Amino acid sequence: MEKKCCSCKKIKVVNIGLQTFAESLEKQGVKVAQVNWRPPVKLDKEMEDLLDSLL
Amino acid sequence: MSVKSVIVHENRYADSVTLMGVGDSVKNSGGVLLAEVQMGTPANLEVINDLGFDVPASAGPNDLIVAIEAENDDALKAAQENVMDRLNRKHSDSGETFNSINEVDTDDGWNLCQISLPGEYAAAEAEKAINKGMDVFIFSDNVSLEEELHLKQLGEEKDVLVMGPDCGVGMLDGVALATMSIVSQGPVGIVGASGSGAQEVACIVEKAGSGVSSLIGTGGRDLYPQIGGLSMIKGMKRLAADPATEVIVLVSKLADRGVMDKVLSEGDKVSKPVVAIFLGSDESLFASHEVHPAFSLEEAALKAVELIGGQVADFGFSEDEIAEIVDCEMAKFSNEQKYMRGIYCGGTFAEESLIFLNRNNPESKLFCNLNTRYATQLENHLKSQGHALVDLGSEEFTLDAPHPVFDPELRLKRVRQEIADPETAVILLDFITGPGVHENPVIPFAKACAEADRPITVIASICGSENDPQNVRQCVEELKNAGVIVTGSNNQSTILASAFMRALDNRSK
Repeated sequence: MEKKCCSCKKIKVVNIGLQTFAESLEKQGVKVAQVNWRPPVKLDKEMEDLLDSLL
Repeated sequence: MSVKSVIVHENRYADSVTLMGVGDSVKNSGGVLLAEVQMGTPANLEVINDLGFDVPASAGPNDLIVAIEAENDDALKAAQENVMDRLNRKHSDSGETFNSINEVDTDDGWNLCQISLPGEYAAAEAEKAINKGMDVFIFSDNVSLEEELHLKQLGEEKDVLVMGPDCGVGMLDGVALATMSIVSQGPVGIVGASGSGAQEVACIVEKAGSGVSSLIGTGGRDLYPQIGGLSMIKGMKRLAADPATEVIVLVSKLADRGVMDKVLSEGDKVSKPVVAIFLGSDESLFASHEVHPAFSLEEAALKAVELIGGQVADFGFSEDEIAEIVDCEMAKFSNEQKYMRGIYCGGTFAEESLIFLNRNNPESKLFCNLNTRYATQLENHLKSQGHALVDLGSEEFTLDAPHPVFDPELRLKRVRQEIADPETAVILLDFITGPGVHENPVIPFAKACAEADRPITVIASICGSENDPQNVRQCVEELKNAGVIVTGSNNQSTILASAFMRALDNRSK
């Protein structure tokens, strides 16, 4: 991984959320990857209990 | 006979700005009578149900709701396809994608994670990114203080920057993040706990002929006692070690005294000059510190430029010029026109103006929608009274509408309302440009001012850079052509507005 620096290294951005922010970075010539984020699935109580007992 | 349909896409997320664009596009397509494309939050479901759609009771906040009423089946089907085409296209047009932050390999150089999810989900994603050793920039608000502290402590441990939560602006490697202006690069490094405040400092640095090495946002709660300025101190240390930074400016609203002292003590240790502004503070805060004090955003920016040998030309109106402008404009007002109205979109600009309007005119009564020590709270935030300053970026306005920097419509409507109010003499405006904000945030206001049917003095400043996509030079021209007085900073606008308040009150006596 490239060392982080305030101004001397190229930034590469992973964007999670507003697509317009990714587009704005691309327009500035920045390498951007968008995460196709989905909300975590809400498990019902029975499934949660089952997972708890297994893990 | 029209046809209606509601489709629930379970566990499908799209951000509010994207949905606003998709919804507008579908509403304007042929044969569509009504269209709502929203996440299924309780507030959104209520709106959709109120429009006469029958949303299944099982729909929830993690589901995407597409509700359309069209003239016939063909138009309905076309509109539904249009929605999904646009949403799917958005996710595949922009190059590389990941399905989760877990898939990111930092050996490929990914070093910054920018997060603008709804607050309840933001901290979990930020934690994953920090654990990977990435700097994080969290635009999301509604992250708890406990989560913020945990993220910032983890950031310390992993030696990464945690910018935010609720961080609106940043600039790293010459790249503008979120709603930041694309200011020129130069030797001034900025750490800001106040988004629009830090951006104003950056833009004035540029107007004064210099530039910015980096702007590290911390989020507005970083100087709360519970957080203790962790990100501000970390950011300052980054800039102290950064060869491109020659002077550091710290920008914050007034914060916890102990934390401000701690931050200043850290500033004293930095070998480069450090300027600090805690908007609303007095000189005593700086008495035992070597950090250079500033009391307006403009002063902070100009002091930084001067400290590294920059020549700062006259920045603003002289007292004689202000007196001349006020005399000239006052002669045009009717006796009914008695008040100044500030209609703002930047929270820090609103606060800066409140502080100085209050300080410059201690005997004038000033109203504001905010609960603030500098003004009396308005009885109704939707209607001004007396001299008033309204921050349309505050919660009571943004609960039901996008923030005015993303969608200026509500603020434009409010400006028209103030123009129509026979008691309005002076209107004070702030504007913010940048790649992440609305593409046309200024010119509709210039047109509204030009259409006023009686003389009203409008004073405005633009916090932006000529590198921004909105063409700031043209925006200034359009404002001037509409008769607006365009100043170089919010501070200059406030000085001028203060003089008008004084003159208006003196005439009313």
